[in-house]
Amino acid sequence: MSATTALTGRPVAAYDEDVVRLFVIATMFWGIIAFTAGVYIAFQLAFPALNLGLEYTTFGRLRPLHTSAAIFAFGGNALLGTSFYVVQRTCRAPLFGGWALSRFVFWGYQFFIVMAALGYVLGVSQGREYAEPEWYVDLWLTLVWVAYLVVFLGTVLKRREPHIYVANWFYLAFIITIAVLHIVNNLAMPVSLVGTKSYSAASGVQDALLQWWYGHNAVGFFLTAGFLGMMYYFVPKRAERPVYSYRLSIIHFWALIFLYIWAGPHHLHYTALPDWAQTLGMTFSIMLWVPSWGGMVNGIMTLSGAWDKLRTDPVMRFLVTSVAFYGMSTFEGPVMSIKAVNALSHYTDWTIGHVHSGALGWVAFISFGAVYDLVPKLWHRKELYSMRLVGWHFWISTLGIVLYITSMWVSGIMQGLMWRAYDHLGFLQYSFVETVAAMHPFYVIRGLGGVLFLLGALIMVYNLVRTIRGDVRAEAPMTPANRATAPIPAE
Amino acid sequence: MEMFQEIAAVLRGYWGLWLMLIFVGLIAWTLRPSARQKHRDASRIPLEDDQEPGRERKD
Amino acid sequence: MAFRNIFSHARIEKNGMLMLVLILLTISVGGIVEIVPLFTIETTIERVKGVRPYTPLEQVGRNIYIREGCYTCHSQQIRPFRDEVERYGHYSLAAESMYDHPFQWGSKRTGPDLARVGGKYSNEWHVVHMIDPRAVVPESVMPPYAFLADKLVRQDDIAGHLTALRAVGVPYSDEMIANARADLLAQADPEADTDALMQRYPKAVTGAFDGDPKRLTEMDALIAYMQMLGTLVDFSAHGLEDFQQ
Repeated sequence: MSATTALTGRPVAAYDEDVVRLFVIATMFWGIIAFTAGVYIAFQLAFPALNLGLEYTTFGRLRPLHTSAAIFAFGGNALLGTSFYVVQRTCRAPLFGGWALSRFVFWGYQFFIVMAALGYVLGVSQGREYAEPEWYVDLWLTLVWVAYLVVFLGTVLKRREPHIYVANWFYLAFIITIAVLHIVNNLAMPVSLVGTKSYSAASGVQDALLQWWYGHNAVGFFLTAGFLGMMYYFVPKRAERPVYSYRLSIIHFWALIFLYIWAGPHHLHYTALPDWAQTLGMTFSIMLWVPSWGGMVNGIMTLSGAWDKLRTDPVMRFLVTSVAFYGMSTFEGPVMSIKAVNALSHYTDWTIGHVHSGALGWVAFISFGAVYDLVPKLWHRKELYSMRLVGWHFWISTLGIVLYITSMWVSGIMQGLMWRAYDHLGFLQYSFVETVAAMHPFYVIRGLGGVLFLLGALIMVYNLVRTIRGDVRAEAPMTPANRATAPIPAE
Repeated sequence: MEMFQEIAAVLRGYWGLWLMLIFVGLIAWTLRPSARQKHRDASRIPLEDDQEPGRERKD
Repeated sequence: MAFRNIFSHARIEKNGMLMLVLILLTISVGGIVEIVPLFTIETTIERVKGVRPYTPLEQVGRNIYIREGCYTCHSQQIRPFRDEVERYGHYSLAAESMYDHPFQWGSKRTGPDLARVGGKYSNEWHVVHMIDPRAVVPESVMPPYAFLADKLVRQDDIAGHLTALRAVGVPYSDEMIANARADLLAQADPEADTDALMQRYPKAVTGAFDGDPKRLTEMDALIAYMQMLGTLVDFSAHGLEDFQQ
């Protein structure tokens, strides 16, 4: 290849966008699986006959399938794919390790997902939330993850750009921290090298803290830091202006990764975990609110001077709304970590609602925005098949999220209050099963919210498939004639 | 040796202060004027990455 | 120009690795400060009498509990609130899960807490409830687990399970491991001589849990596990000062 860059005068290989295309397809595929599984298990809680009486289709086995599909399959593919895209572009260097290594990361990761999912359905589970895969799957993932780190860090090291762009900081922190968490939390003793069963290295209270140190930082580094990397690239890119404050992004980064790691014990308030650890967890969870909102302000204010894009570009609407949801869930989280609030919210659906305002509103929305932005570029199409369909996707999904989180707020707070209610004679007012029965209408509403969210995602898949085929829908533009000369609204 | 341990114990008691100092240091380091241009350049990286490798840069 | 390039390139490479190291340091602080003392401070686990390793049958039942994802809907951790203590029993102690590999405290109560479900219902109730939860609790949303009654417990590898547990710190003696299979069978066999079993595992509940003494099913194991949950510590023998952490 004789091409050179103006920057260094040295020849360069082309970016590996093929592997990014694979990751984008996998993101869409697993997204539909994850949302479908979620809808199904949501309705199982409303209509238990849907458990079908089979061992393979009980809520207990399908719930890890849903959470893993959403976090690791949908979210993971979105993170790996965008990180490979972003790191090449912002480092102006092709992926380190070449074709073979990046393909190993892709197919190795898909193999991990399939192995994990098969295990859940067939009854192979460690029984650790969000770390259910057994020891042999964990070992495989470790191998794939190290290869991923080599590709990513290698690309950063041989970059042609003097600066390491801040998005790459977040991606790097995500990769490193997940590696540490994954290895430590999954330390276990297999019963036999040819069997699936293992026993965790730690037990009881120590095991609980390890698991929630992992569990909370899976949220903090997989579902937050990684997707913040996405935000710091795609929001400025789509807004066509630099991030609001680069300095704020640096402070955001270090404060966030320092504080997040402490917050795990808030999952264990009022348990047998010693008080000092609970207090530490609560304190740092509350402090975490500050950098989180710093990041939110930074993301949203990047649009300052270009607010009209919210009206004219539904992809931008996904990106900005996701940051708003990030702000909302990172406010709700610290509130729920306060022990007095947690006493009510813990063990109830409030937690489930909180997780989904983050998972659907923040993680999925920013991924949708990134994928909508990427597909025309990756397949060299001038534009998306239909901007109007993106608009439909946005509103249908948003309505779905609203139904989901409001129904879970009501059912969670209601159940928490019913558990602690006393009648005038000083007896517990409700039996447990009465509180279960009271949840039914909210479980139906939540399920319907999930259906809307799934419907929106199906519209996206249709839109993207048509885009990849090179079709353009004949439709009225989203904007009055010429956006370029449209007046910018006063600020 | 014992003296060092005592000093360490005293210093550990002020952990909140050390954290605060590290944090203030981070902010000062980030806001230092000499980094202004560097940050401005860095923030423009995503906006100038559209040229395929091998083609001339537009700017 | 070329000289400058080489020079700056080296510096940049260093920055990439420097960033890796700084990230590792930053994320280590919180983890180390919280996790290490939990293993080193002796009062983390209360010194109470009665907690013992699980019998082979209970451990098999516990593995089924884990396999079926029961923790996705049931907690095993009673908080020190008036309503929880009245509903479920004495609040949970760290000591009570000290042999739990892994812990199963759970995070959600779609169904009730199970930390002290042992002895609250009869074996017969559990069998009917497992086969068809709505036959005994009409409003329940629990999946049916009838298939457990048809699955036989694998017996040949039970000593291997106990050995693995011993490797991670559960004090199974050589005698316990040598008798693992015999104990597994004896606990669910009403005809068996259980003196040695009771010696090794005080307070173990015995009987034909699933109603069929001829076959050792997963239903036997799961119910044996549930019938011992929260029953080991004798709270009348302890005062609050024993629970200080």
